[in-house]
Amino acid sequence: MLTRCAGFSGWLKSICPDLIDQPIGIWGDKNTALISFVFAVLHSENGYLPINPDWPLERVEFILKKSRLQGCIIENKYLAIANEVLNKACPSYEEYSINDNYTFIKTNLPKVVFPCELAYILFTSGSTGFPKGIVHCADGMNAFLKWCESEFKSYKSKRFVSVAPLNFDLSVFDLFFSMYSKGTLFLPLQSTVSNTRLFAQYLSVNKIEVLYSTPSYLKLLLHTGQLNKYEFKSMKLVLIAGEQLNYDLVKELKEYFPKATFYNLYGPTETNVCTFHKVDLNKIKPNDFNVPIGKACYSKGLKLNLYSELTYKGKLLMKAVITETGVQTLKEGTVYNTGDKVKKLKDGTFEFIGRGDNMIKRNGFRIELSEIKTALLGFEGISNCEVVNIDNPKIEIIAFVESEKEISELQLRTYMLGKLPSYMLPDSIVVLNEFPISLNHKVDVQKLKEKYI
Amino acid sequence: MNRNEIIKEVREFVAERLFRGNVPSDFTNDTALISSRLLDSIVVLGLIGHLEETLNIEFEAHEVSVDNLDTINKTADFISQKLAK
Repeated sequence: MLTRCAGFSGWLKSICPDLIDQPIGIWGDKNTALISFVFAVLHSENGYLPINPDWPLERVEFILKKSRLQGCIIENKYLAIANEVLNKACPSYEEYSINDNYTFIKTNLPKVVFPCELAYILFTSGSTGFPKGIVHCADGMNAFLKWCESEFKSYKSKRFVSVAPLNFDLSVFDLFFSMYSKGTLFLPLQSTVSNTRLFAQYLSVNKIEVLYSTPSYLKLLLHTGQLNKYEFKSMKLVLIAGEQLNYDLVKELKEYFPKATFYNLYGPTETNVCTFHKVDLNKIKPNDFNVPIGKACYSKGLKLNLYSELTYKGKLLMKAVITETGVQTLKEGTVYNTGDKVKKLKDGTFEFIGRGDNMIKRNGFRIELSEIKTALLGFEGISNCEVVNIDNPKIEIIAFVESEKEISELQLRTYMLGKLPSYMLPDSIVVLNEFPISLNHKVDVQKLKEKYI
Repeated sequence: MNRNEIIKEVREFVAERLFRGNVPSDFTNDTALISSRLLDSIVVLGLIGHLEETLNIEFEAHEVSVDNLDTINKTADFISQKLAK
């Protein structure tokens, strides 16, 4: 693969000789070829920016423009729709065929200077109503891999499987730690990941040893994967992140993965993993329900602010952020507030309590409710809306919509899918002619919740 | 199990997971579910697990595709054929 990467990166240099530390898009289905392009982009001293083929085109256009994407590797089956977006986002661009399946696009967008050796940019939900790009550099990625190496030193040359999409930070561990630790990376087809029974079979047949996923996916695997049909004696390490984890799930998983060690990993996309907790099922007390998020990866950098929110300062933190106003570089020594409320336990480890704002996590993806609100308000006939979440027993998003006209939920959902990734869509949409107003002339959200949920 | 029973099974699952039971009048058995992204990947995952369990069938990797499962009618056609084999 290294030869292939070097070959491609040399070719890239010949087309774009002065391209260095610039974002290059990766747009295609996750497979071996696509992953080698990720490594090739890094080899060419640029950073990769994954574009999920499932994203709405409007979102991709926003991302292209705001990140000033300089190039993009596109799987040919997405080339026609990519051209649609590129025509809107770039005044001019050039197409170069890489092989029968992939095309490289040089965008000619004006460059911005990134503050470091760019490694990757991941777009996630933003609190201002627009997506937000998290810019990670080589030193942050190295710091993460060095930490992985020290914590998981007994897992050298193992068989890894990658489940998470490239735009989700769990994949950073899969791709780079598997290579860093001289392991083998297995890339199941999306259709295998989408059928838990086939995925269970895949884990068993390929004797997978390291698995990294979210509580939601692992729960589905347990309940619909028919795990009792297969054996997983090879499984040695199961890493779980992205959502609150409870001991019951770990106990159930342990029955099928008897030889595995379990870790709860925590960290927003801004830091990647910044705390960890190795689960010891023998040490749980009767009242313990949630697995703590643990202690800091480099034993420092984490503090609680006045509102019990976890803050982080250190080398794992992103170096810049991309918002609707463009690329903003973080100052040296920036203290980042995760917005996650935590409690410090007696042994010095942290436990996650909840959020103080409008951001929620579902299936490992973070969702800013304000982004859903912005999208809904763009639908013709909607005069006002409120988006709330409930957490009982599982997280659900409910959108209240004020409109004098009849609105079809199907049309509304289809419209929103043109603006937002599917994981951000509300579970329920309640259409009302008029919203209740509270005494201080604001929409009475409490009343909405009481009456309709 | 006949085609109508399969349609009922799929429709009930989709209605419950997508619309919490209140199915809009313009939602039909030909409404695109996967290509339109109306069903997200987690719901599709649940649907496949549910069908495998209730209809006692097993999907092969290549069978989980937009061509076979995009609408309720397509899903019913595909499963009827599969059961007939």
